[in-house]
Amino acid sequence: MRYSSIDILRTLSIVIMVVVHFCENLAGVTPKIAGIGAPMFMFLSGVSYRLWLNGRTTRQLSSDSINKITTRRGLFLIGLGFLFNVLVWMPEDVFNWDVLTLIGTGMVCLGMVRQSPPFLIWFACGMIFLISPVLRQLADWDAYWANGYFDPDFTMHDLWQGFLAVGYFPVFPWLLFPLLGFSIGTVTFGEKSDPPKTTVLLRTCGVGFALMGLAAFAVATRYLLADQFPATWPKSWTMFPPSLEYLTGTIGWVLFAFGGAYWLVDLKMPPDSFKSFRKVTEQFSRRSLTAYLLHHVVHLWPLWLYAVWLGQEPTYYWRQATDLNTALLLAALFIVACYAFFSWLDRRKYPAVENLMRWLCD
Amino acid sequence: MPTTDTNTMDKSHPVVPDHRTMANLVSDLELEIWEVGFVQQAEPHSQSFGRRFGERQQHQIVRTSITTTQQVSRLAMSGRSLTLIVVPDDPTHGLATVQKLQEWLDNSDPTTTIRSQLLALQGAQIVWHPQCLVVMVSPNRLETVCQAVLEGYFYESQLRSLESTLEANWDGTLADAPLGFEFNANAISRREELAQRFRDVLNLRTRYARLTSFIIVPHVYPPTLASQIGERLRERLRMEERLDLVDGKLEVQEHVYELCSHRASEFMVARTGHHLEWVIIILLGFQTLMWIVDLLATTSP
Repeated sequence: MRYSSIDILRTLSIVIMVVVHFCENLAGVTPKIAGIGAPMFMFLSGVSYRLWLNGRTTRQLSSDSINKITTRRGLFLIGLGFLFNVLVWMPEDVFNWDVLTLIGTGMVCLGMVRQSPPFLIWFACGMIFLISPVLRQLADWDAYWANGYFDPDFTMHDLWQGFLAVGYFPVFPWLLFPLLGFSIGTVTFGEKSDPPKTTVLLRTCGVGFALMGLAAFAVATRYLLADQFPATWPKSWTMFPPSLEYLTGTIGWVLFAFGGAYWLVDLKMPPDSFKSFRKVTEQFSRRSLTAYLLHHVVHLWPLWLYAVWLGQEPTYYWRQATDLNTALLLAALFIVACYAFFSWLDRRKYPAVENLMRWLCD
Repeated sequence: MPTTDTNTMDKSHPVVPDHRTMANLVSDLELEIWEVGFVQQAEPHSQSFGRRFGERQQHQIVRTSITTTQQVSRLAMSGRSLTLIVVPDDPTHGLATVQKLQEWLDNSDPTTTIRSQLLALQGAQIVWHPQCLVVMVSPNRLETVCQAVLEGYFYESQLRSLESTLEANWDGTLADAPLGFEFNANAISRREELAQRFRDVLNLRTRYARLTSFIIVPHVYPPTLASQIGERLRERLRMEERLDLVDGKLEVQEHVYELCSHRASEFMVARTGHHLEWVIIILLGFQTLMWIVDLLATTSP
């Protein structure tokens, strides 16, 4: 069964990521919406894993098979993440620990904790939340990000530091989003994908709203009472590194959006309303992994190839290829072309990356 | 608030007169038809009949309506209450009418195997049927006899209710029995259901215990007509033997749900312990992680 709310939120996160990446990588401008797409994408990977698990349990798939499939999928995503880093970024960026490696790691972790009660997962999430700034401090995060991007050496030491605490999307704290998504999925749908109760959804929504309020309060305090805080304190709202305010706010956002969207779209609205819109979002949601890979290829490879063709360093035009408006226009064009491409794939029944994953892992 | 004892009537099968038999049931006698119920309340009921009875004398017989008819064929029972037919003590037609009524009652509901019982005692003729009683007795002993018959009927209906509830529970009991051996995470969602069934079985045991003292009673000396009617009814309806059977069935169901409650309780206690252990493991894991990151940082090239 497909949930339109999840499709809509996943499409939204893909669109946000596309816009942000186009603007950052082509125009060197970080839009204000940056930082809310990736957390939602990871959170929904946890929710979807819960729904997938319920489907497999209903079909009486053995626990052993579920473990194997989950681990294979996780390793596939980690491997795909490395391949993506090598082919789309540069071979020296193979260990930059991007979203795909994080979701793959999250998948393996979810396979291990899938039978744990939600409160234990929440406890682990709380610990991840609290310990991450400490780990960054211990690992000396600033030393790895001196140039404004993650720049490790090819040593085992830096590899582990990047994976755990200082990469783009290290396990600490980003793992809490898939874990949170899974536990919220368990609370919402149960272990048999039962229709959720309105009270559960509204409570999720309410907790999310409260957390967003708390984050806004914390950020406002830092700005309004700036002289009361020591200069050595970490910045208030940053995605790299993910500050506590940012984490609180994005956790609140994903909870609020998930609870609210489900309540509004799947419970309150008639299933046949906004059919075309639902169809588009379903298309993007089903092919979200392909869309994630494709949008990087489409806007980064031309940059590298054009620079090499002109005899420059491959990254010469990175963040300075176009102005903001052109980048936005290209992002919009990509989204339209992407939908047309996915429809063409469907009509021809050609496989995408998701099909490859299922074929290899299931 | 008076509480009508709903267990006393079998509502599922209202007596539907058999028309072939009814054609032969014409009688010249005027029959009195009482609609009777039972209530449990401390205050006297406005329509109460006879004296109070039962535990703490809290039960009252309530006569909700009295009608008369000269034709037995006009009798119809709704099944919503107990019908008591008083046949006048007429030596010429009375006995024949009682027999016809008994025959009619036996044919009234082909779905039940319960047959009516005829008691003849000191000139009184009593027909017992799960939904209808027929009494033929001289007017001066009518109240005494009706009181005794209705009390007997009340206890028998309580016993019948216990039996039917226990029978209805068997499927659930068999389904729950495996949980008496092993309780697992999948069964956690059924804990409330199991607890409810355990409470239901305890409730049945309580009802059984309270009923026993009215069914297993010593003979009254010197015997009275009322006491003899009670004894004879208990004997003819095999109430003591049925009580033993109920006891055996209750024991099995109690045993199953006791085991389930123990297993569930043990599982939940162990689960809480495991959760605490996991919390400690997570804390130790994070401590180790911090140590590793610290070590990596201090040993950086």
